[in-house]
Amino acid sequence: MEPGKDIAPNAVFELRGKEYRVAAGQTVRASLQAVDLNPELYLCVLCGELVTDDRIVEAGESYRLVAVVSGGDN
Amino acid sequence: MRCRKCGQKAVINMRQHKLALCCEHFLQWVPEQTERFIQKYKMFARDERVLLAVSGGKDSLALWDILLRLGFAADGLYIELGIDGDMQYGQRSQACARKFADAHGAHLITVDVHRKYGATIPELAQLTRRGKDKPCSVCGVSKRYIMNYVAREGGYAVLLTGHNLDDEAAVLFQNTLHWQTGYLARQAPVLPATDAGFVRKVKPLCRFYERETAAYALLRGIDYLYAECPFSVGANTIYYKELLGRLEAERPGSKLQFYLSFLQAREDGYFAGAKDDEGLRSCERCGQPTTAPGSCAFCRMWAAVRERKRESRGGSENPVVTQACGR
Repeated sequence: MEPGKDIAPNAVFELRGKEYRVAAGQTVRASLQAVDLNPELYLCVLCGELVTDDRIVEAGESYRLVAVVSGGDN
Repeated sequence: MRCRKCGQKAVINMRQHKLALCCEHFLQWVPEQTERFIQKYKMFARDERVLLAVSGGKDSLALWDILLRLGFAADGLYIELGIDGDMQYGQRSQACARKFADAHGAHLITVDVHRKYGATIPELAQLTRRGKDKPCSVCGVSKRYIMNYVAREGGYAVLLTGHNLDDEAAVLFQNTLHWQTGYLARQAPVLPATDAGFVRKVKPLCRFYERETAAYALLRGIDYLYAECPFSVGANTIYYKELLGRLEAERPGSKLQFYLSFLQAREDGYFAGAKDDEGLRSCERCGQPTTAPGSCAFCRMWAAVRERKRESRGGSENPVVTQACGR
């Protein structure tokens, strides 16, 4: 089962075209951890604004995740 | 969460500093800290000519933006590697670099590896033993060579790269796992110029977490290439970054402490015996510095490519590739 599929789909986190559905009422940080995403590796954008990970996720919200890790082996 | 400076809504929380800032104060804080690191590590002075290696990604474009805001007249160097990966990676990254330069009236030097030397990085990887199954290796050798070459020829006092703390911590982690003391000795915010011909190299973003440089680029509206190099999939560096990210999630500040403790140990002389700068000499073909006897790694690499191409063409010389060292 895809991570987060068993959670009531109250809010959505979108990362590179993939959607993660999370329950409302918990923090952004807890939501990311609930779908096995490390909050340290993503920035969270809501309605075009960066938000901190202590924000409480509300029903119907749609977040965009920006991965911050880059690099190669050179 | 509220901004520590003004009480407005914070856009970023830097847990390692116990510091949350709003957009306005974060965009002030980053250049202030950058200038502090430039001075602390004696990276360069205002009257020195500086060349910044620009990839089109968030770190290098963020650094260019910061330097221009601080009043440094930094020129950019973009290296067209010929990497496509069915996503026009090269064209898109160059477009980001060009767009930034044009919007800020900044000077951008472009070196096209295929045009100048005769093969793209993916071709080079196919044609050399060094690049077999690991194009990042030939890419790294090529970029380091070209960056130093352009900086020297252009009379720049210093070469800047956009390496952030996560880059540094990942490399440090890798080198520590393998106890690569020679590499550890050479990892620093500033690598001084050498008599043999290395231009001074500095990393002004080495104390910023990657999420801070990404946040800066987003908040400044910098159009950077979000897509990753197609060859970076599965790269060790990314794997180590993710490992360190897990540690950071549980223990905020671990990455910063790891890196700063290393710098202190280095300053205390723990790796002094491992330095091998004394073995530097000039490449007999191109004159660039190398630790190898005879030709440098870059010239050897292109000599092997010439040989392969000659064999495949039945003995005819490729006139472009024979000028591999640009001389």
